[in-house]
Formats: sequence, structure tokens, C-alpha cells
Amino acid sequence: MKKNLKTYKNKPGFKIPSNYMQDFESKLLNSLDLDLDSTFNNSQNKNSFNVPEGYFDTLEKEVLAKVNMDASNGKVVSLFTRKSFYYAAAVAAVFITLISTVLFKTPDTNSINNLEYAALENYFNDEDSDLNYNELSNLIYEDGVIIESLNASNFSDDAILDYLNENVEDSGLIIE
Amino acid sequence: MKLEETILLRRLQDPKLVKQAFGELVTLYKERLYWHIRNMVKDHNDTDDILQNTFMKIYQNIANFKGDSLLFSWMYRIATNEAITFLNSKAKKIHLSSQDLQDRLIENLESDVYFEGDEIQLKLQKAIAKLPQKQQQVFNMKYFEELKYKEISEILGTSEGALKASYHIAAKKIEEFLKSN
Repeated sequence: MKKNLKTYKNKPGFKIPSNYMQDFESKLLNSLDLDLDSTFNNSQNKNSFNVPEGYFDTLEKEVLAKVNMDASNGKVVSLFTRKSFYYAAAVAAVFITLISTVLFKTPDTNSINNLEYAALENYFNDEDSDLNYNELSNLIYEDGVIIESLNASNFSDDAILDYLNENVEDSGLIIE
Repeated sequence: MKLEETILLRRLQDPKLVKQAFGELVTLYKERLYWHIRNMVKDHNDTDDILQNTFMKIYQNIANFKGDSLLFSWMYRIATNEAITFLNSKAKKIHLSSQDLQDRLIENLESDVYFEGDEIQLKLQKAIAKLPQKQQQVFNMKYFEELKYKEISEILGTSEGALKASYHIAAKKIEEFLKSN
């Protein structure tokens, strides 16, 4: 090591403090628990870093001010922790399903009121139903939907007669 | 854990006493943590930001500190992690490898008004910058911060034997760098 140090010292162009390499070498020789204080005498500033004047005084004030600000704002709880995110996603999925099935379903598909009468007639006439006439009649009667929804008082006598002429084959019924 | 530290920790975990106790904690550790971070990131302004973040994290998490390790080593670990995270994000931000970033940091020292080192001291910094990150940490903590191996072991979670070996290798590499440059 001393030989190395000598060689290094003799190299031209390097400016070395007089005791630098000796101290550095003592560190290397002892290698594990050596102390190089004498190389850079300033104990906490051996590496020559500087701090602005009064920095540590202002630092303390800044940190404590931040802490006070943080405390007054209360603890910040993340809105989207993983667990709550899963809960939120599950609830959102349920709502989306409900909305898509209830609110956005096409009204034409299930509402009997929007069916054309001709289609209804065809449905029943074409044996798509197992119900016979009487059953159908009872159904209509029991439900009362069609009959009660008719506001017959608005119909003039002429209009009723025209309708019966066109749709009722048995003229005896009209006479009655 | 020392009795003093235990008492301080109890006060830090008491909502009524935490502010006063935290002030004492800052007074006690601000310089030590500052130099620990400064040795890693080199620049004063970066160190200032990281140190403040470190203390904020300490304050926010002190209530959850279980006392499984020493308080001081827990704080050093936070500071170390903050500094490493900062360096990694800085390297990513300016598209440099971590080694190139180390070289850049040392180059910046030459014009840094807060660096008053001479050529030798700058060269020492250059030599340190060439070391792997772990060896840099060990060397800085042992040489500049004068921590004991036992303390470094607590902070880095590495055995004392491995730390001694790591420091020895780091010192050898630095010696070789100084000889060859």
C-alpha cells in the first residue's frame, strides 16, 4: 500500500492535501473499522457539501408548518383503495344491469298495447294459442282490460253501426 | 430500543403530545437525515425536498410504527427509500441510466455553489459514483456519516459481516480509482 501511495504521490498534475493519502491508506489498511476523519476534518462535512446559512433553522419551521397543515386537513383517505374499488365496481355493475334491463329495454318488445290488432288476430287465428274462443273471451272479460279501457260514450251511434256492419257477420246481432 | 427513544416514541404516538414530540424529533434528526440524503442525491435543493417528504412520511406513519426496529433506523430507511425513489424517477424523467445519472450528478457538482470541495474531494465523489448503489450506501454511511456497522445493519437489513465486506470492497475500488485517475 505504501508503495502504491508513493507512486500515486509522484504522479504529476494531481493536487493532494499533504495528509490525504496517508489517512486514506490508514483507512484501507485497517479496512473495516478505520476512521478517516483526518482526511476531511469537518466531521459532518467531510464531503465538502454546503448548506445555505440558517437552513436547518428554517427547515424545522417548514416541516412543522407542513405537519400542522396536514393535521388541519385531516387524514387523507384514498378514494379508490383496491377493496373499495371492487365494492364500487360490483355496485356499478348491478346498477348498469338494472338500468339496461329496465330503463333501456325496447318498449315495443313486451308491451301488448303496442301490438297491432291485426297481429293479435293473426296470432290467435293461426293456432299459436292453445286457448279456445271461450277461454279467450273469459280472459278478456276477467281482466277487463280491453272492455274497461273502451270509453263507449265517446262513440257516436253512427260510428258504432259502421263498425258493426264491417266486423259482424251475423246481422241479427245488429238488429238486437 | 433505548429508554429515551421509547419515551419519545410513546409521546409521538400520543395524539395530545405528538406535535411537541415531533418537533423534538426533527431537531434531533434533521441534520443526520439531511447528510444521509445529501450523500445520495448530491444536490442541496433535491435533498431539501426529499428531507421534507421524509419527515412528512414519518409524521403520517408514526402512529403505526410497531417498534419492531429502532426508531432511528426506521427513519433512515424511509429517508433511504425516498432518496432511491427520487433518483430512479429522476433518471427515468431525463432518460438516463442510473450510472449515467450518477455521472451527471457529479458533473453538476463542479458548478454547484453548495459544493466547496477541491479536486481531490471531487474525485472522491467520482469514485463513489462508480460504485454499485449498495456499496455507495455502505461507504457513505460508514465513511461520511460515521454510523456503526450495527446501525447500518439495522437500516439496510444486511448482516454486519456482509457490510464489512462491502465496505472493504468499496474502499478498494475507490483506492484503485484514485490511483488510476
